[in-house]
Amino acid sequence: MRTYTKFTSTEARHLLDVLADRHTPPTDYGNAMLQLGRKMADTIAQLDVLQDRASSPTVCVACTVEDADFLARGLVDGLMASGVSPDKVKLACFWNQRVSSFPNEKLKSFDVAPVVKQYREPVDISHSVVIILKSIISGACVVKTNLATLIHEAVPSRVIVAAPVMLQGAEERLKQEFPAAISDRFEYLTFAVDTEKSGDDVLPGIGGQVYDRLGFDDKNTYVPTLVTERRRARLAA
Amino acid sequence: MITRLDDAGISALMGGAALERMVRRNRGGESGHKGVRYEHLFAAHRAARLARKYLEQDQDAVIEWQSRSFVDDVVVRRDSLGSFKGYQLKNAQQASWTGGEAPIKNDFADQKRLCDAEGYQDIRLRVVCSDAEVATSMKTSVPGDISQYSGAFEFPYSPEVLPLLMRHDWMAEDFGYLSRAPHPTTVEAEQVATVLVGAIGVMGNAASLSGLLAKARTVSPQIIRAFESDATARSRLSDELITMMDGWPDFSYVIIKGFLNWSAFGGSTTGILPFDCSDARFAPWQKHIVGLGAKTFEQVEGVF
Repeated sequence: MRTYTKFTSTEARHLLDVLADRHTPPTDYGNAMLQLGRKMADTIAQLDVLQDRASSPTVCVACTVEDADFLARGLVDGLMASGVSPDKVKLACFWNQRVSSFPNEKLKSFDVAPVVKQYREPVDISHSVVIILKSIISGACVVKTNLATLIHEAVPSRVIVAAPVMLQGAEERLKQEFPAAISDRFEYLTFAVDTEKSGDDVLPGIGGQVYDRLGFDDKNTYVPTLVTERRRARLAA
Repeated sequence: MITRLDDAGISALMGGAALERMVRRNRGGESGHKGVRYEHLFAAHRAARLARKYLEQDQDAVIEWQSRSFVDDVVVRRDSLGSFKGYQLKNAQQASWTGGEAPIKNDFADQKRLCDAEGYQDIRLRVVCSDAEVATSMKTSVPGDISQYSGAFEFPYSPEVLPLLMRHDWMAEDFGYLSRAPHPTTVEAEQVATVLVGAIGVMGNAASLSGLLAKARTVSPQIIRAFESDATARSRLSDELITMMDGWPDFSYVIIKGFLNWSAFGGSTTGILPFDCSDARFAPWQKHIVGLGAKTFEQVEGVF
């Protein structure tokens, strides 16, 4: 069963339907993710802290490689379109590889998502609003890993955990993975909460695994255009 | 020289009732094994602690969880050194040396007697408590007749490992020693702990330390450091690869804990190869990279 949240507009519902439809081609799927990123930016830009132009905090968007050119691109562009200064928007991109069993063993004996590569723009995390972004949050393993990596040196005052779709209980699962002093700072932004799961897929979720739907052969060999563009711009500055 | 006693030997030494008690408690432990993660986490932590001695001094050990012993939750045997360490775990708000149907004190005394008979010379038995106050209470009330070889200490517990490591730096450091990362973050230390606990969960009730670490290293990408020296790992890089990588502008690399760590684009982009230099995948990978003849890292970034 799916429940929509107070943030979900009619247009956002339509975009979620596009994701859930298993016949949606990769290009349209990616475009829907991009638009959902913009919708999330519209909501986040209304936060008091971002409306206060005098304090003008840095916003650090942390995403996974598969979300970078779609959901994260939409969010980053949307934040800037909403008036957040481009030099106040920073990006962190993580290449995670999920592992849950030993070779030749079917039993899932653990669940880890080590970071094998990362792109990080310089940012003072302790004075930033951190947005941990993912297309869907189910077990929260990847989100936990990337957030813990990002805040290893310093803890931000605000952490927004954002995903178009979350599995029911994901908030609680993520919260349990951090001491209260950190998890008390979490805020959640989602458009739909689903209750069903089949295997690794949330139903209707985002219509399967995002990398399959976007047409990735091996996501960890992919270098997002968002990363290369921003990297070139930084090196040229 | 250690000579392990079989059931008949234990019965002859301790009596049939003692053997029956040992077998019964072991059976109870096995039936309640699923989901009992305090024991697994503690055993994984013992493995991480012992790994230093294994990697730096080549001292292997056997770790047992739900051991067939009187002190049975976690046992570490180093027979070549005559060393037996037994741990009874108490993940509860109260514990006592003398209370209950099977007092800990009696189990410790029986275990000492058995260890003596088997030839162990360095025998240490400990109650391990998840609660700090219980640990203090047990530590300060060890019965005099077993105090020479008995003690108690705290080992904190949480079903989720990451917050535990965030609260206890020492535990994160112990697990982090085994991480492939040069300067492990807390979550990288957690990944080591998680994979070790996973290995313990699929390896029956006992494993050699070397076997446990080898099993934990089979996950891909590898989480656990390589066992060979960095000098040996570095020697596996071909001259062609070194020449190529040295020629790439704004790119640097270093071999640490057996893995190739790289940094590019002003340090904004970093990574560690998902397998170490001794892994079977490394040689074909470096051959592939050399074959690509890249003039910049950007041309081959995807395959790093």
